[in-house]
Amino acid sequence: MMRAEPIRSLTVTTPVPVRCAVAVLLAAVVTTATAQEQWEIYVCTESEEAGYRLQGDTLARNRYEGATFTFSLSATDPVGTLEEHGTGGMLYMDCLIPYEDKAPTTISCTEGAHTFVMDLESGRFAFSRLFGYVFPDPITGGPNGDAVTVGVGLCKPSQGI
Amino acid sequence: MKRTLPWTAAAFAAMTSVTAPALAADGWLEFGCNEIEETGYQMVDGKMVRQLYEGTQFLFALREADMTAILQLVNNQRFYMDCRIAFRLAPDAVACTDGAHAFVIEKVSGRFTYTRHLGWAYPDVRVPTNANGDPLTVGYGFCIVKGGA
Repeated sequence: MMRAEPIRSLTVTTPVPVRCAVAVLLAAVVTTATAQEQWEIYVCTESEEAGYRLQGDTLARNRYEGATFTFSLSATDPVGTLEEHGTGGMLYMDCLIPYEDKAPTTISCTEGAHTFVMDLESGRFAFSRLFGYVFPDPITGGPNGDAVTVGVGLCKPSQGI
Repeated sequence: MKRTLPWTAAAFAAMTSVTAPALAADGWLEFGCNEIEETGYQMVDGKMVRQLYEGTQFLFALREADMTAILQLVNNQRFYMDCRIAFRLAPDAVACTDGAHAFVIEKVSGRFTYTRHLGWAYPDVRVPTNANGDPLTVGYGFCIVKGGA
């Protein structure tokens, strides 16, 4: 009857590249876990949005119901993500503190046509979506029909992932 | 009724008089921009109230070599911005921000959108627990190339 090889033996005979791969994998898992702990997560509720949307050839003023989304801010790097609830869309944003002397707790994050400004102390935020009107419609080449808006609201720290 | 923003001053035609030499230098693509209207919010009696504002006029200068820009109001106040191509499928659309202001322009058509994020989120400098009373707005309009590259 054959005896099972002890695990120690397996470890000894595992080729070096495989062991390296396992080590890298373990390191990646540890790093990922650490990184997850270093994100500040907020649930944000927009009270409402104001803006414009194309109607015919002109932009008409509109008022929109506010959205809810999750905003995550890295504690180690000047980056954040914003995930709008219900749409599944995720924005990857670069962040800065525009007025470090006068408003050191107010951050501003942007992803091209979207800008998210939030005071980390109070949770007050403003969120603008500048995608509409300015980008060309892929078919007509004229202004696209998406809305151009700015909204206000409050963020609260999430109680956990 | 449309209100006039506190930083609004002169007419579109007056913009040429505030053109600074730096903006006219080589390498800058310079636009004169006419905002049609702004809407947004402002604190009134402790509440954010929706407002409507007259559009403003300003200069926008873009240096594509390093994707930096200057947005200059008619009162000569300048915002120094970093820019990027906002959307790969629209390579002529450039999005610029200094953190507090965001400006997106489609260079061919001249259409732009513009937000001022100074109100609400930023604390009042005198009472930091309160929101400040500056307007928070979004506007749109068109720009005309004035010269440059």
